[in-house]
Amino acid sequence: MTNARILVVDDEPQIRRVMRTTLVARGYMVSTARNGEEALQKVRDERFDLVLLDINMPGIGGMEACRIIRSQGDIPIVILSIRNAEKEKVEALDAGADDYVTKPFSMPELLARIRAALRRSPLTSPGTPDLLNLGKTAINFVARRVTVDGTEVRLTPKEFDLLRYLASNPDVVIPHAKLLQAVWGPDYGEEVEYLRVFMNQLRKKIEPDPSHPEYLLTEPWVGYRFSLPKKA
Amino acid sequence: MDSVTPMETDSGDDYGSASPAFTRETPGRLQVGKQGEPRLEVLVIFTDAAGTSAALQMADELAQELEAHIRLLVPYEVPYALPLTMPAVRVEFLEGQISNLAGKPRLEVAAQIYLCRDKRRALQLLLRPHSVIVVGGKKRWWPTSAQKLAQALQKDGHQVIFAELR
Repeated sequence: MTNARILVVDDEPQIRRVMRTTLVARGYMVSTARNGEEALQKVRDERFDLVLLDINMPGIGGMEACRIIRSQGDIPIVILSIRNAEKEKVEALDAGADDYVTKPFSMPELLARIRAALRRSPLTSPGTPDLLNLGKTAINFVARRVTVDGTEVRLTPKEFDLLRYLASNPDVVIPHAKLLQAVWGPDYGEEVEYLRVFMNQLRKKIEPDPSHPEYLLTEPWVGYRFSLPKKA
Repeated sequence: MDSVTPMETDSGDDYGSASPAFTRETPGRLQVGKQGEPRLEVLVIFTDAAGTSAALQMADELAQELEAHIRLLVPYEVPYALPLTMPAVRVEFLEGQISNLAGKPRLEVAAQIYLCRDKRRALQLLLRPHSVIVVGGKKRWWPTSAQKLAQALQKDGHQVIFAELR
């Protein structure tokens, strides 16, 4: 799965550097944080598909950061730790971690665990197709490109994330709050007007007739639904 | 905000016209997209200092995510007893007030003051259909003037976001 955004949290610069290089080479978008506090700030400000979290850090530490991140949303968290004791693993998993990797680890194993964790992530679920053809509109989710009648249409990152989330859940009504939290982050949930503005912009860009949308449908008082074109 | 440009006043109908007496904006702010489409605009309507400040903050966030630019519209009502170009409050004072609001770091805003007789009518003339508008103010069970303005703009078919002042 490429294009997923991963936050690497470790106080050791070498580890952050190695992780960044390896993950970027695999097509992931990587952001780093030096400690728990910085990680929490980044999780609040940006949207990530996965967090790689070191346990032993100065400040609030990985375990507490894990608890807070989990309390705010469903981002998969993979713990990295030098401790191999059963008690530590149980504590981390109970704090909300999805997986626990003991250092030193082999890179192929870590990558496999990242892939496994991402499969459970709502924004990068395997339900998101690589390519989607909606009549004259073609969406390449891997390249993050949208073309209408062969002409490229520019979508902002947020518009693209919104479209990707909707497209990964076709023909399912997604409530406003769920959509806001999945795309904007855990602090959002009541900003229905925001969604309305973004949906209007998306419709203008991908729908043949934005005033009579075929794909991005409103479910009054509930949310939005991405309708796939019916096959003839 | 760099220049003050006097604009022509719509003298035909003094009662309802938008009558933009002055416009004040940052030159060269309007950008054109790749395909020749004008860049999306997020409009903020001035309500009061605190409400407008909240609206500008929200507009800033929205503009970044939509890759739009922000325009602050200040429709200022001039009583009939005074000539339209001579408001009770000096235009320079209004400009100073707006500069303080829009002059926050990182905020790129083109601000325009419109002297008018009727704010609602002025906005009807000024706004393009389906504009993206942010209005800031307090929310109360009994609608505040900012809430009423937001409702009226929504009724006119605009996409209105209310920035609640807590």
